Amino acid sequence: MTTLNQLFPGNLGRLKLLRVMLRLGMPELSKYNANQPLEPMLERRVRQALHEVEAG
Amino acid sequence: MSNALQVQMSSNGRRSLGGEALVYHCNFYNYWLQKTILLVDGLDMGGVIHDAAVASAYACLKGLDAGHYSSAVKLFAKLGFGLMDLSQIDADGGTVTTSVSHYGQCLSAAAGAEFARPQSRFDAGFAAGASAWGHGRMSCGFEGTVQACMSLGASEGKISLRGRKPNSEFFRSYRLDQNNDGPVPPKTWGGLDQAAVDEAVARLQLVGNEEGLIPRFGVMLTQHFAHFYNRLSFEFLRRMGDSGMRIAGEHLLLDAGYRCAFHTFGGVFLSPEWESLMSPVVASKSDAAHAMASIASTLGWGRWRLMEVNERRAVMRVYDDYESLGYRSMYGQATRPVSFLAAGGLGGLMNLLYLGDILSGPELDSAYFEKVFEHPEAFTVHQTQSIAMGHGFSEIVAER
Repeated sequence: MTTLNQLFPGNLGRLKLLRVMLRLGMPELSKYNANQPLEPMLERRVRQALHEVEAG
Repeated sequence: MSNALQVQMSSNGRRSLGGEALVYHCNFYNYWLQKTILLVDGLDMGGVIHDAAVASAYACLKGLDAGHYSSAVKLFAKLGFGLMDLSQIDADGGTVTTSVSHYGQCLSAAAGAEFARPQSRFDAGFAAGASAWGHGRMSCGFEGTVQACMSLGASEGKISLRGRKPNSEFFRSYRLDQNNDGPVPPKTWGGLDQAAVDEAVARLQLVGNEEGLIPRFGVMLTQHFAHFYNRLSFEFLRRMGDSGMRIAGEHLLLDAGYRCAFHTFGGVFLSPEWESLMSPVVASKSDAAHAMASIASTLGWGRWRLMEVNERRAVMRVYDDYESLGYRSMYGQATRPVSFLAAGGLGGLMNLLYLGDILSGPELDSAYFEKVFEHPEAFTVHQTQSIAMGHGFSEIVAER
């Protein structure tokens, strides 16, 4: 189980989270408790989107 | 022909060619802007990139009244976009090739990762707009499709063009009046007159080399269409509508401006040109901030004036702000400030000077970028006035 803070550390992480939010079309991600473990299904989606935004 | 492609610079800092407003931007900005607007599926922002390029190229060539098809190829090279061959295009379309391409080859330095998608949509739009102009069609007369892109490993870029139906709703570029009806920018720094900085930058001849590229200050510059940038940014925000993601989108547009400033201003600070022109008149970090604002004021972005600058805070006013003027021309009066490039630029400038100690000559690499960006007291910026909202100037505050 992973939290948003663990997936998106620091100022650069915060920007990556914004990109993931747009990629997934999930504005509600900004309201998630960043220290709360993500549901497994959501975590998979977030990781996949992170992989996409980290590609060129 | 070379005279016909001479960029005009007005006393208020506006750059134009064939009536089209031009602004300098680097490969970092071009990459991060494009990456941002393509994040959201379903907005057809790839189509916007293409059509904004069509409208800009077509309007510029029409405004130049250059008369000969080859001027489009020269324009592409002069502005730093690369080398394009339009000779195989006839009235029905055909194939365009690019042996050198800013978008195809120069964005990888900013991306730092392999590309999953072609980066040269702008080239396709430029080719379509130039061909429509060359064959007497309406601006939307051709549609370009990227068939091969050097960003994905192709040896040259290939774009197929085919005709498309007239569309009365098609994007139109706007033309900025060379006259300035806004307030006169105040003199806020005694180091060098703006006119002297304008002349010094003009002497640098920042135009495409024999490869049609502008490699300067450690980045790849383009002298680009202001309409193109504004259309991309503001159409992106408009199309997101009430999705709940507009603020996130604004943050990312601002981040593109930050990265632009970080790399371009950083490169200028470390350049021999800075050493010879500015070092003799710069005695402090605040002097350096004023000096860089006067250089930014030559790039077609509007006149930047720092009303206040110290290690904790800066207040910058932008007169003739190209983002606000573009927004107002295309979408009417704004309800929120729209000067994302300028805001990110000020944040980048302040972080470089006061957190990154750029005047000490650090290596401008990714480790330095990360160190500055992750600094616990990094500057944050907010926009307090906006020409797009009806104010006389745009104003941005940076604080930490």
